[in-house]
Amino acid sequence: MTLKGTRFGDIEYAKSDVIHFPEGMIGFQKFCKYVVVHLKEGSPYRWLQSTEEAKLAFLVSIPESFVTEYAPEISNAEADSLGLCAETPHLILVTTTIPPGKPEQATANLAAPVIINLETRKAKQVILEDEAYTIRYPIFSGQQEVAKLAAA
Amino acid sequence: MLVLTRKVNQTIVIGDNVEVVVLEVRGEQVRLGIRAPRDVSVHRKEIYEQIAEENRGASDVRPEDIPE
Repeated sequence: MTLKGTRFGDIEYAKSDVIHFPEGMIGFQKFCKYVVVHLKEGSPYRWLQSTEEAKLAFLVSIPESFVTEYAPEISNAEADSLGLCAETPHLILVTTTIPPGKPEQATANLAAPVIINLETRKAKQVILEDEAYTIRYPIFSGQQEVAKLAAA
Repeated sequence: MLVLTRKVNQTIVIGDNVEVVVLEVRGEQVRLGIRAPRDVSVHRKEIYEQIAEENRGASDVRPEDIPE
């Protein structure tokens, strides 16, 4: 299948590539189908590209590439809704924001990771109950710190 | 908006499956207990809105700004 008019040009994808977000992304409930676009080999950045709205794509990244000890704990209810148990292959991505022209100020949202069940390709953006994870983790200045802030 | 007055330990019921209990009132703070089915997500509104805002930010990133 071809998705035309994305900000990366036309994208070829297979039906089996599509990831289903039954509840959409937070604030974007209307759109439930996405593909992960990985433009550069070796880069920790990906795009979560909507297949329903070509103009909609979220920058996401692999959290392990810039934080150590990121171990989001999701509730049993969330795990059940995703059909996840400990052995289920899954992928965790975090949405990432870069102000125009200021890549050094990139931040990642560690408080609401996107969790993808790779067997069923069902996914959800989960708001963690653990409030120690920050919504705006500085990717470049935070490198020496662990992901979790000390509880204030 | 429906406005109800409740005392500590009193509950309101929303639909068939959601209950909100007033647990404690201390000055300007109210502690609430929420009982809801697993598929109903319950969040503090300001956190939900902040995350929606970050998502908007992530959807506005220009590909040319991504670091090498």
